Amino acid sequence: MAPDGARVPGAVRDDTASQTKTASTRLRQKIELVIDPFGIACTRLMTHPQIAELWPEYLVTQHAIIRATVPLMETGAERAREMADGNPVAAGVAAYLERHSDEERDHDEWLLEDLELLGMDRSTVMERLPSATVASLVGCQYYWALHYHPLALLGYISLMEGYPPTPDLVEDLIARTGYPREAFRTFAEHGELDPHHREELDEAIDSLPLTAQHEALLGLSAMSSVGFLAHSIEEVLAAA
Amino acid sequence: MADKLPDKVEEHLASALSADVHEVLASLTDEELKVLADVRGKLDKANAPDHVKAQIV
Repeated sequence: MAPDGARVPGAVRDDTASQTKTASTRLRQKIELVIDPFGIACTRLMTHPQIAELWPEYLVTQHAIIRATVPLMETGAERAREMADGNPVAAGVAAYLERHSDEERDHDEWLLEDLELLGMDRSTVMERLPSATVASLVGCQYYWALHYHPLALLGYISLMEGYPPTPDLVEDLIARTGYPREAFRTFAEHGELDPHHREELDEAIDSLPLTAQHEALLGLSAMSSVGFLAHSIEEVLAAA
Repeated sequence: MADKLPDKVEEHLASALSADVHEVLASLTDEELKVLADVRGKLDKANAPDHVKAQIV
């Protein structure tokens, strides 16, 4: 809040004090303000007495989200390239999304293989109607990418890769579900890969000449995604 | 900041705010504040006694 208490609706502040931190740090602090519902939903799911029943449902929901990741990034990269002439932020976003989409490629296929190990064939997974929550989570990103600025995707990715599972959690789930270790490939791999991806993303964000308006887009994208992501897990829980 | 968040949200956050969090809160746009208020409002409702839940919009 400005010292005089005045704020213009929709305006973005450019606070000198906030410039002592990096943009990626400020983004993660914004996410922390709203992360509780996601943490609560995850805890309810992971500690649920019927976790063996819920786990395949959780993976189906995750697949609905993850199968859109690479197409979304490719769409964002294409839009960013179109905007890149004389726009260093768009140019940087295009370079990051092109690089990172390769790192995320085929993770949806891994997940289908995990589900097959749990006895769910891929046609069943693909025929399941994705919820409006999942469509909203991903759909918001398409809107911002195509109709405002694909920088929004970096806020979304910051959330999606910001809370990887720990090795202890993976072991606990294997023990409590009784499912084969191989069926946790995607979950475990994300636990290993996401911290590295998170560092790359932070470097990419901090390398961009972001204005306060850009940072507001990153924040809005990430913060609003938390609610959808938490709700997608609550929908899985409701199946119990 | 205080004039942008509903009272109950401000009360919820005020007890444990670090200087860093104050700074982040102060930097939020109106749209970001709406998301924050929505999240905190839902949490308040989830944690409230049943007779209070009905009164939280």
